[in-house]
Order: sequence, then structure tokens, then C-alpha cells
Amino acid sequence: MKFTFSLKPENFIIERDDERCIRCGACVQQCAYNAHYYLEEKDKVLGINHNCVGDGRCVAICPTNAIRIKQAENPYRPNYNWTKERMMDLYEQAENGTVLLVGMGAPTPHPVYWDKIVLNASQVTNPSIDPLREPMEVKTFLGSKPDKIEVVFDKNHKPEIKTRITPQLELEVPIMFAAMSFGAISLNACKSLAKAASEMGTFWNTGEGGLHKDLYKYGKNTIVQVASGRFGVHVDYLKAGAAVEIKIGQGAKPGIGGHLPGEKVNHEISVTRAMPEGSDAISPAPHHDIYSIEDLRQLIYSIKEATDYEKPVFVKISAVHNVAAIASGIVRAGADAVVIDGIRGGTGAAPKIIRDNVGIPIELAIAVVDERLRKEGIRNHASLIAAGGFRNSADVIKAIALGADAVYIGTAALMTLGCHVCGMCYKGICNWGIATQRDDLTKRLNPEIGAERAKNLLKGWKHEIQEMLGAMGINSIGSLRGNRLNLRAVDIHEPYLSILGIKPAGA
Amino acid sequence: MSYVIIGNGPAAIAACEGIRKYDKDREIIIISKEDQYAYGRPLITYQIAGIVKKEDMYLRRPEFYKENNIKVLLGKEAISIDSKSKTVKISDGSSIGYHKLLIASGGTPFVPPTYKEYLTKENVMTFIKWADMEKLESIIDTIENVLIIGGGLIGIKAAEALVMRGKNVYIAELSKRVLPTVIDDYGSYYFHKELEKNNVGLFLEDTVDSFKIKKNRVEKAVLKSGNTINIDAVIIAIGVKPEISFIDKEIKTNVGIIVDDMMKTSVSDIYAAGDVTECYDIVYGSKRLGPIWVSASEQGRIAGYNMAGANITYRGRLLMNSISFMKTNLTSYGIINPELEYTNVEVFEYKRDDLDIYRRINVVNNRVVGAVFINSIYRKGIITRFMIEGLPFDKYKELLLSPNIGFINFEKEYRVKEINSITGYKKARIV
Amino acid sequence: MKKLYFREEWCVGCGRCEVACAIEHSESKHPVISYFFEKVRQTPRIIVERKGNISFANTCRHCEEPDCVNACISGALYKDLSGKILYDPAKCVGCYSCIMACPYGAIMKDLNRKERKQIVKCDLCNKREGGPACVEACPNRAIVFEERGE
Ligand SMILES: Cc1cc2nc3c(=O)[nH]c(=O)nc-3n(C[C@H](O)[C@H](O)[C@H](O)COP(=O)(O)OP(=O)(O)OC[C@H]3O[C@@H](n4cnc5c(N)ncnc54)[C@H](O)[C@@H]3O)c2cc1C
Ligand code: SF4
Ligand code: SF4
Repeated sequence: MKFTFSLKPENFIIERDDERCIRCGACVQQCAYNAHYYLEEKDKVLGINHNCVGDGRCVAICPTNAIRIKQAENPYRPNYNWTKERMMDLYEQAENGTVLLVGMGAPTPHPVYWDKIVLNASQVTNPSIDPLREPMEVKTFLGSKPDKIEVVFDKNHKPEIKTRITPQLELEVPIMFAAMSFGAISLNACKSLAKAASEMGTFWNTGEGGLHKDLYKYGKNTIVQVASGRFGVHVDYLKAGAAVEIKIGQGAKPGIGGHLPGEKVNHEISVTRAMPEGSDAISPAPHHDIYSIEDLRQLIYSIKEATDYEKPVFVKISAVHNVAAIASGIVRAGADAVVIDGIRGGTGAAPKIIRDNVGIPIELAIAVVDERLRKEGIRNHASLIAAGGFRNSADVIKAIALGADAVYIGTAALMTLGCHVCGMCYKGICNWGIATQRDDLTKRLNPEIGAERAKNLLKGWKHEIQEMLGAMGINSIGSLRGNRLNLRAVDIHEPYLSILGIKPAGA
Repeated sequence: MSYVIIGNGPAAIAACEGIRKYDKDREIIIISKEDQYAYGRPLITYQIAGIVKKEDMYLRRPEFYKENNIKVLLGKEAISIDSKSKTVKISDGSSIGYHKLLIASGGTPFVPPTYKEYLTKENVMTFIKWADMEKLESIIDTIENVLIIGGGLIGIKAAEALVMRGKNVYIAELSKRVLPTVIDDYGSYYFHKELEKNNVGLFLEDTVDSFKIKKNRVEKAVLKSGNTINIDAVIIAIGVKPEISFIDKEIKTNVGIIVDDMMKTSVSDIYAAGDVTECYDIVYGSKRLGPIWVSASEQGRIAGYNMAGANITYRGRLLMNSISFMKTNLTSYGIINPELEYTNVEVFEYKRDDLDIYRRINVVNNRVVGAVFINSIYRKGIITRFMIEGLPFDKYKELLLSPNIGFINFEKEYRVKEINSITGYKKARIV
Repeated sequence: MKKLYFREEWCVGCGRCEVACAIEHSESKHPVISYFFEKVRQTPRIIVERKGNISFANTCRHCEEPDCVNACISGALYKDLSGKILYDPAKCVGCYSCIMACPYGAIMKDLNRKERKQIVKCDLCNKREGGPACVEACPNRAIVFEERGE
């Protein structure tokens, strides 16, 4: 045990009910942060509070439920301004002089508008629909839709669509797994999500880590990403996926690149990313070949060209101040879908100061982008995909009513795999086998189980969405898209009401 | 005609089960000299000691015989075999014809001629049969000092039973240590220590010179060394030899009956199994005696399979013994003192006298040929794989000497295959 | 016959299977009571081996030709009609011949039973509804209970 002087008090208190502890040692064996140890001479299992990150592995694994992890209160003088977290961060920086790193989405108390928006339901004047008895369509197509459709009839009077329809992604449920690279998360986590997506008829996203050879078989349900580091990007990769996503920005770290430290770049990752083993994988902040919408257009069309115009091309940006104008430019540049990632979007590692202070909430971004594209008459030219902190099916359906076509879930997806949102992803020793590349830890996530659980989540949400649609008397998700009349605000004030384009409850 | 089995020990029972695997119908007749259904012979120790009740000594439930269509002739002795007419002559004068015959008559206690006459005394007995147990039991409350002649397996187990009953025990052993056949010099030290702890009087390199008799009871023993001890009972435990006195002269024997790898004797339709045979020994690589329970069962089973028409060969016996005296436990395998057989023997040892733990592995040409473990039995059965499969010693040296022998030190392919084996280990048989 | 199979690629080495086994074979079947308050603390019949990144559980294979049954001098070990190798403690005299003979090292001394020498071995949770307890306790499906062909 290290015995060093530090101003930082512990964050968690490990409480062990000694009357329940049967000394099996599972907690000791399982904690990669070494927060438990066994004192043989006294036959006692003891905790080291300082090491605890509160990821709950021990709590879950203990066969007698003998362990409780409690948040430690601020042992110093409490102060509204100088909260425990601020003090801790400050002491940490006083010790190390570094940029503070974090994982996961911003936990900051910016308003979560989803919680202030409520849905409508049918009463008397229009009938609600029982989704268990009547058809309820939640299928969604992503991609550019034509302005008009020309239909001709052949000799036998059979209709035929003459308009050339650009490639579309067909989603059985309007929820996809967000970009999380092999590198940021383990191969087993990727496998879990890929398998779940393919079994549920939706999509998962490679992130900027390339596509591991074991995952090519899920290609039909894969969105392959092209980011500023261009790791693992080659023509087979582009062709392996169902769509290609150009990543400009990420909600957790707008304007910031990525950095996968060399110690995580093991053999498998180096092969997948086409880079030397053990070297740092650095994604620059900008794409060095994109300084304008025109440049972006070039990349979009290069990719379309390379993939024979068979795959839709998405462009992902973080939700920032000018998001509507930027989105408009992206659509005009030829993207088939715009992905916007809000301030609560997750990450494997980001500077805390950026994560918590840069960007705007996704709710506002969806509303303004949808509004702008409609006004410009180009809404049908691209789909709108929202991401960043979706927590349940109500968040999803509200996003769709605000104008999104589909959403990406990241953190929620990882939670099905065991993630407890401890935010220590950047440390690379995730006890749950998700945000780590250490063999003894990655094997903790059996993709067979992971896929089942991720799939279950999608199944549950899909059902709930059908129930909510039915309650509103709507039998197809398409009829809800951008239908903001089905939303009302509680405790949201101007000017946000008009930005969101919704009425206050009661009106 | 029936399957006929002479003898009623583990070899006989296993043979019945072996036969029934391939032939559910044809009657089996067991001829049993002892008037007891098959019982755990080694259990006589535990019965005397009070650990197991008589009714729990039987190897199979009473229904076993009926369910499997087995007729047991209790208290009947096979007197001779006529392989021409395929019949066995029985002590009651009758003859039984056989379809296939198994000789599983086991061992008979070896009693030197000089002691033979004393066996009629009411306080002198061997320690092998149910009857011996009953004889000892009938006098147990009247005796205090007991002399056991022979410090081998049976002698030590008899001593344990008597110590547990609170008796004062002496052992006279001709060799310079106890358990000469199953333990090495150093290992016997732990047993000497434990015997001493339990106040057993050990007379090594010594034996009985003469007895003093009073009223049909032995009263005193005079040892070769000149010591005289007062005794209330004597147990003769010098050894056993194959019981082949009744067999057909056509059947090829040495000390025991020679069998091939299907447990066939030299005469057709006659098989033999158990202590009575000389069968192939895996480690020695030759046919020899090896009176151990596990092999008696294996041989019986293989014989049964083949009697019922299967075609299964025995890989051979691996000698092994597990014997305890009070708190000291010994597990030994294969050749214990290989220096007597080979010149290039390597011995690897781990000794912790303070903890009474001892491990010894005997290696010849990088092959494990034998091992001794004292108070260190945890998972040691895994070592049989080394002797049976001939796995190289150098690769697994640490594993074999470690207290926690396990599969983790084996190569991945081997361990994954083995710990997930569908059929389990097939040590005894080759199909 | 359904048997236990061990998938070392998924074993996390937590030892929950061992704990579940001990609990299942206790009188109370209660994790805490069985450990602290019962006369005999149960010895797990399943063993988790660990070294570096590798770990896996293993136990009795319920052999077709069981060496332990051949070795048992008392008839305490037997094969039942379904093919399971079962153990009758009333008959066992604690000679450890079975431990000596088992090539899987799957039979253990009943460590905490002081009054009499006995052994423990996997009984595939013979009478338990829902199959072996270890399978259910494993967080990562590293143990499966299934029928496999040869
Ligand atoms: C006290 C004691 C302790 C032992 N402990 C161990 C131990 O711990 N481990 C171990 O491996 N081995 C031990 N043994 C040895 C073990 O008992 C034998 O290896 C085993 O019994 C041999 O089995 P078997 O079937 O070949 O013959 P046996 O068990 O000897 O059975 C043969 C039977 O055949 C009967 N018989 C003989 N001739 C005839 C005939 N002509 N007609 C009819 N019936 C006949 C005999 O009366 C006897 O009942 C011990 C033996 C004794 C006596
Ligand atoms: S220890 Fe018990 S079960 Fe094992 S061989 Fe001995 S008597 Fe049989
Ligand atoms: S419970 Fe499962 S993961 Fe844990 S040690 Fe046992 S087999 Fe391994």
C-alpha cells in the first residue's frame, strides 16, 4: 500500500459487513484498482478507500452482498462555490500540473430538457392504438430522400419507381449504437454490440478504430467511421460497412482530437488500425484535408466514388453554437445524414474542462437543425441522427418528435454490458472488461452475454416506443418525426421554448 | 450355460458389471468360499475400529444381485476346474458347467509353516477375511496387548484398528522399516514417528522365534532379538499369495495366473482377474503380481466386457496405494525404490519435516516411474497421467513437486481437452 | 448425459462457482449461515485454477470408466443409472483411494469434517432444480451444463 501525503481525500468509502464476508476473495481478485486486500494473519478482507473508483464490480461479484460503496462526503469545509469536486480537481492539478482527463459524458448540471418535455396521449376525440393488436411501424430509413418520386406503369399496369433512390439504411428500430472504437473499448464490447445490432436489424459504429477481422461478418449492420487519424481506413474497410461516417467532432470534446496511448495499442489494435504496435494513436483535432464545406464535399464524394455510390455517407459533428448553419452546409456538401452529438455525449477520454464546458445540449441542437433544414427546403436531402446522453425510450421518442430520424446510444449501450459509469475509461483498466485492453479484464465480457443484454435493451425500448406511439394514436414513427405538437414543455422558458419550437404545457 | 465366477471380491463384482454392459441376459453364478456377499475387504480395519458398521461393509445393495440376474453360492468352494468339459467342481459335490469362467479367487494369506499350527489357537488369526474379523471381534474385549507379525499394509491397518480400540500394539517386522513395498526409506520415517506417537512397540529386523501357550491361547512371544513380550492376541500379517490351489493344470501360472491384455488365461473361455493374476504393469513394462484393489476392479471389469463378447484390452496396471495410519497418510505410485531396477534414476524430493510433508518423484529417462506423497494428497491423482501417458517430466517438474498440482501448468490444448472430456479418462482400457 | 464444460476464455477467476458449490452442499443453503454457523463448513467440489491471465474451473468428469469407483474400497462411490458418479458418505471410511486414483484430481478431502475422514466430490447438484449451482453463479457463462456428443 502506498503511503503518501495527499490533500485529496477519498472519493468512496468501502463498507464491508464483516458478518457477511465469507473471505472468498472474489473482491480482491476482481478489483483492478486494488481496492481490496486480504490480511491472512487476521483472516480479514480489508478495503483501501483511496483506490476505489466506485465502479461496483465488487458489489456485483460478492456472493453474499457484503459490500457497500458509499460516496464520501466532503471532509473539508463545505462551500457552495467550492464543491468537493472542484476542490479535488484543484488539488489534483496542484499535485500534477496536468490537464484533467475523464471518461464518459458530462455529468454537469446543465438542464436536461428531456425531463422538462412531456408527451401527448389520445383521449376521446381520437382513438389510441393498442400496439399488441394493431400494426405499429417503427421501421426507419436513413439516407437522402428524393424531392419527388416518379412512378410509371408497365404494360401490365404494374407500378415502377423511376426515380433513382440513393442508398438507404433500413432500421428495424430507430436506435443505433454510437461510434466507440476498438481501442477505446475492447474487442469483446465491439463484438457484443455488433452481434446485438445485427440480430435486432439496426447498426453499430466502428468509431475511428478500424474494423477488426472478426467483425467483418457483421458488415451489413456496421457503420464504418473515417476520422481525422484515418486509422484502419482502406477500401475494403469502406466497402465492408453498410454506411460510412465522416467524423468531424464528438460531443464530449468538440474541437479536440483523440489520443490512444501506446500501451493500449496491442497487436490486434495495431493490425486493425494499420499502425505500429505500442505507438500512440493520435487523431488530430481537425481533418487536415478539410478546412471548408467544399473540402468536406470532396471527401464525401471520394468516399462515395470509392464505394460505387452504394453506401450512404454520414457526417458527424458536435453540437456547437452554429450547429444549424454547419448542418446545412453538410447537407449541401452531399451527406446522406447529419449526426449531431450533444454536450452530454460520452467519450473514452477527454479533457474534463472541455467535456464539461464546450458544446450545447442535444435537444436544442435537434430543434434548430431540423428547423433550419426545413426552412431551406433540404430537410429531405439528409437524415438527422442525434446522439449524446440518451437514457431511455422517452428521450428517444422526444428526439424524434423534435425532428431527429434516429438516435445513437453509447453510454446506455455500454451499461447493458456492465458499465457503471464510473468515468475511469481513460485509465484503461475497466473492471468490466469494456474500456480496457488488458487480457485478464477483457475476458470478463463474454460477448454472448453482452449481445443478449444489449439486444434486450433495444427490444424493451422498441416496445415502449410502440406503446407511446399507440397512446398518441399514431401508428407509424414516421408520422411523429418533427411533429412537435405532440410535445409540451414544463418549466421551460423563453427563449428556449421558441428554439425548441414547442408550446408550454397547458397551452 | 452361465457365466461362472470363482471368488466374490471386487474383481468378481466388477466383472458382473462388465458382463452386464454387453450382455443383459445370461445368468451369472458366483461361487464364494466366504459366506458373505461381496464386502470391502479393507473395511475390516474400520469395522474393528468402530468407524463402519457391518451392514455398511457390503459393496453393493442386496438388490444388486437380483437386478442383474446373479446367483451367489455362498459358503461354497470351487475345488477343481475341468476345461475339457467346461465344468467347475464345487465343495458340495456338485458341478457347474460354464459358458465363460472367471477366476477371481484373490489372495490367500501367506502363513509360514512354523506359525500354521498356532492359527488354531483362539487368539491367533490372520487379518484378511470376514471370519478373521469375527474371530478378533469375539475376543476384542478380553485382550490388551496384541502382537502383529508383519509391518506391511495389512499389518499397519490391523495396528490402526487396534490402536483405535485402545489396545497396546506391537509390530514385529523383518525388514529395517515398515511398509517396505510401498514406501521408500525416508518416507517410512514418518510412519515410524506416527507409530511411536501412538505407543506402538516396533521391533524392526525382528520376528517371532517362539510362542508360549497356555490354555489354547498364546500368552508370550519370544522374539529373535531375545525380547519377550506378554501378549493377549497375535495377528499374522506377513503377506498374501495368489489362491490358485484349485485351478486346472492347463492354465499357465507363475506365482499367479498369467493373463493377457484381455484378461484371458492360456486356456480358452477361462479368464482371470484381481489379486490372483500376474498381469501387465504399465510402469514396469512386464507382467507381475500387484495385489491392489483398484486393479482388481479394473481387471474384473475388462474381463467381464470380454467374456460378454466385447473386444477391449487392458492398458495395464498402475501400482498405487493409499494408506493411512492415524494422522499420517501415504499415497504412492509405481516403482517406489527404482534404484533396485534401474541405474539412471533421478530422485526429486520436497521435505518439510516440521509439517510432516514429504513428496518424492522417481524419474528414469525423463519419465516419471514412481512417486511418494506423505500428507500431501491434494489432487495427486493427476500424476497417474504421467505414468500412463509417459508425459515428459522436465516440462512439468515444478507442477509435480508443488502442493497445488493442477491443470493450469499443462499446455492449453491438453488441459482444455482434458477438463472438458466428454467420456472422462479411460485409464484402464483401450478399445 | 449432461455434463459441466468449462470455457477458460470466459472465466474471470472470481471463484463464485466455488462459493455456490459450498453453499449448495450446506445444510442451510444460506451463504452466510453455511459459512459461519454450520457444524461443518463445506469444501467446494469445484476448483478454480489461476495463473497470470489464465483461469478456469474444473471438476469431476463423471467418467464412463470411473477410476474412483474402481478404487473405492467401500462401495461409497458408485455410478447411478443416469451415469453420474455419486457418493454415499455413510459408507465412506476415508481411505482416500479415490483421491489417489482420480486422474482429474477432482476428489477432495472433506477438509472441515473433523469427527470422521470423508471426501467430497461433484454430484452435478443431483437433486437441485435448475441444474448445477456453479453454472448459475458464474457471471460470465464460463461453465455450461449441456449434452455433448462424442
Ligand atoms: C486388511 C486389508 C486391507 C487392504 N487394504 C487395501 C487398500 O487400502 N488398498 C488396496 O488397493 N488394496 C487393499 N487390500 C487388498 C485388496 O483387498 C485386494 O487387492 C482385493 O481384495 C483383491 O480383490 P480380488 O477380487 O482379486 O480378491 P479378493 O478380494 O481376495 O476376493 C477373492 C474371494 O475369493 C474367494 N475364494 C478364493 N478361492 C476360492 C474358491 N476356490 N472358491 C470360491 N471362492 C474362493 C475368497 O474367499 C475371497 O472371498 C487390502 C487387503 C486387506 C486384507
Ligand atoms: S475415501 Fe471413501 S469414497 Fe473414497 S475410496 Fe475410500 S471409502 Fe471410497
Ligand atoms: S464463477 Fe465463472 S468466472 Fe468465476 S471463477 Fe468460476 S468459472 Fe470462473
